[in-house]
Amino acid sequence: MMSANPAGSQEPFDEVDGAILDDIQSIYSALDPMPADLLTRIRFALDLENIDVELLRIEDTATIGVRGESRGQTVTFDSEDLTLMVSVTRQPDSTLTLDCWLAPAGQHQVELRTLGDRRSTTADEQGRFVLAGVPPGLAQFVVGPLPTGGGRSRSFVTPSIIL
Amino acid sequence: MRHESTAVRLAAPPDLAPSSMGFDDVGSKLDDLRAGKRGALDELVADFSPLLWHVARAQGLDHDAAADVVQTTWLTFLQRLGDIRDPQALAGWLITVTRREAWRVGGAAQRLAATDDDEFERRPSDDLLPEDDLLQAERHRFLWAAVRRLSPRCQELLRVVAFARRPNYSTVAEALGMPIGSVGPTRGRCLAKLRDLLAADSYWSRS
Repeated sequence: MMSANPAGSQEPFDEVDGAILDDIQSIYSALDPMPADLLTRIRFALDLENIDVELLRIEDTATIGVRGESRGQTVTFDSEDLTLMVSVTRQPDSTLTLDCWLAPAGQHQVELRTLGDRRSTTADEQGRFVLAGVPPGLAQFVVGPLPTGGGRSRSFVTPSIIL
Repeated sequence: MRHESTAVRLAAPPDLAPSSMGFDDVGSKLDDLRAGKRGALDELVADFSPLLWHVARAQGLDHDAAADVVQTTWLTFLQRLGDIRDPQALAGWLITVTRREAWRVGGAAQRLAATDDDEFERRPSDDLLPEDDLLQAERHRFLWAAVRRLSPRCQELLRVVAFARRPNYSTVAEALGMPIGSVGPTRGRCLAKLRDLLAADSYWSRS
């Protein structure tokens, strides 16, 4: 510990400390509240039939900040074993077309979960698949199951994103 | 562990007693979840997500990135459910995963520059809501001014600890890489520094 310990740092945690922390909680709750829809997004993402899954993380953070604000966007999801690239185009009728590629390529089964709906498709030999007429809103991809070595197979899931 | 929570119970006023702090059924919720009761997962998510939101935001992530990180933490939790044996350790585990994911997202790394051996300077979140509008209580305005004078590391610690149960204080400090380093819950240097600042402040020393 390089910095000097202020007097009192070894004192027992007392009720004034507790009251201060309660006030700090109130302050941060006011100044930086957790987004109201975050719990919904998390619960949607966790509402999986099979929880033995590998996570596809959002890697392309450049698109995160502009999500939902532009006509087109690209999101890349990545794990050790699989990469999923999604290019989103907004159509004049306000639905979305998703051009997607999986690497390594293969005729993998893919499911797109949206609120109250799910659509299944299969990637072609190049790992490409297209989903048209997708409603804007919360969405999550589930890929697989596909073999991950050692005789095992696993599904891959992305976090839920707002398309 | 038992020793610490006893000490907290003696030191804390009744409204800070462990039973009122919200995380106390973690063990049975984890058991329910393993038994396939998905409602338990919803409850754990509701209990811990505000804490994890502030862990991610204290790392300097913007709103979208912080929301993604908290979600990723829960997906990781679901994957690793079998590894989590000790319900008492869940808060620290979730905090550690959230911080690691926040680092992975990047951003945070660019905002870091070492200033000395154990202090790191993070750019404080600059997109908070306007405090003039939202901090009505005078007590809160004075406290906030003092908090902003602490080092970024102390601000992070107190922000995260404030959203954890008090008996988790030392667990949280350890998960943030700032162990309090003594048996039983001591105030630690960040709270001590804050109390020094408050004591020097005419508003707080009045009371």
